[in-house]
Amino acid sequence: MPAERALRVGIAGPVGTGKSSLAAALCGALAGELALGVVTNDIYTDEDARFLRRQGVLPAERIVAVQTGCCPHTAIRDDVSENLLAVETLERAEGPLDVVFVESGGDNLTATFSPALADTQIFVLDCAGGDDVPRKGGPGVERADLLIINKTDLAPLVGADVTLMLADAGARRDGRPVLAVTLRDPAAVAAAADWVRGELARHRDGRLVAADPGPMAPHAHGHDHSHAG
Amino acid sequence: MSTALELLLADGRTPTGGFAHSGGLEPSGVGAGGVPAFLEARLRTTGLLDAAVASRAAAGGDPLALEAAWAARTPAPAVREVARRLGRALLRLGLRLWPAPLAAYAAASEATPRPVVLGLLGAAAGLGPEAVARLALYDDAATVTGAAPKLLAIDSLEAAAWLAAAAPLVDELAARAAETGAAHPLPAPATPLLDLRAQAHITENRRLFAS
Repeated sequence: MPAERALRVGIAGPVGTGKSSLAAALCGALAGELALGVVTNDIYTDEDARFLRRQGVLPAERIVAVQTGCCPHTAIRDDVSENLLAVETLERAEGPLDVVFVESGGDNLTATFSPALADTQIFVLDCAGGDDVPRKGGPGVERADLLIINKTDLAPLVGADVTLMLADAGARRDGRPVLAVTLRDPAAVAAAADWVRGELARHRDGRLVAADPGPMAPHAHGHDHSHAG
Repeated sequence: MSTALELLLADGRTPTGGFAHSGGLEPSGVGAGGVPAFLEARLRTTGLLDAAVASRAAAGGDPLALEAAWAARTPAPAVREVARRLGRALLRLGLRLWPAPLAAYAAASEATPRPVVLGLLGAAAGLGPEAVARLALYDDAATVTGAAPKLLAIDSLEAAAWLAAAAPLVDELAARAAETGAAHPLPAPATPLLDLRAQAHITENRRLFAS
């Protein structure tokens, strides 16, 4: 069934990896062709919303901040009420919109979006956070619809091995896409924007079904039952 | 009635958005020593009003008329907006659990203030007016005590003790809120400080909570 509402793209990942920069870059790349909105989830300020408004990539009223009572993980996973209402309010006030980006507050490796909130999701890591993070895995690293390894330009400065990060991510992602980029590079932003266009096309013709990365990695038991997944 | 459903509606783990709110504690500037008095003041004023509205909605009162009566007694736009959002979140739960009794209200109401929605969910769950009033008051108190350890340098057990200490007042006010008839009109508390602080809080750009 064709979609009647905007595509909701979740952007998650640890603090400081470039989630806001990614949202700003994607808005900059797509605002000319699509009607966009952004919901930010800041921990204790509306810094991210103000950053995005300052970039001037969208009208200020298309960018709203949600407070999460110190619980960024809860707000995107266990109780998405505040975020869902923010998306719906934004769509009602500014719509019709094509895409709403929901930017999570920076969190740990287990934080991913509930399928009730995000139709598709991007998990953002960076080289400066340590090149062992893709090996550690976790639901976002392994099963987010797109994994971005950002700040590759910093890799030589912090002793990170991008090739290793890509190999570890590839081994865990079962063919799901990975982009190792610096968001300062317009070609990288264009690649990420292309991925969004692809997801939007699938959303519009009803082929996109939210694939929940899950809060936890699949696990094995010493007894004989299987977990649906 | 089902006690377990009453517990479900009182449970902070039930996803209805409450975790993002502090019941006015964040903008209050109240220190740890002042929380019990703050809690009592809320319960006796806006808490009692919300509970009386919720219990009347649960007892079959006209929800849209109750919305208007509640709004007339809730002068701060910021407080009404927070109640609308919390009400919408609660309505999502209601439409999932009891779609038939809630569908008409969901279609008719723009304002969806939490007290009215809570009353309708309570009725759908088979709870009586006093039980619904108690839920409203308990949630108001638990929102404050749940946020307290994130705002103040206290042990969470301290906050739980404040909530327990407020229990007799919650019960007393619940009974009062559920009284109806000419001798018991809807309360109309004046809470200018809560209202002004709530209004100022929504434009703060450094805050943990939505209210």
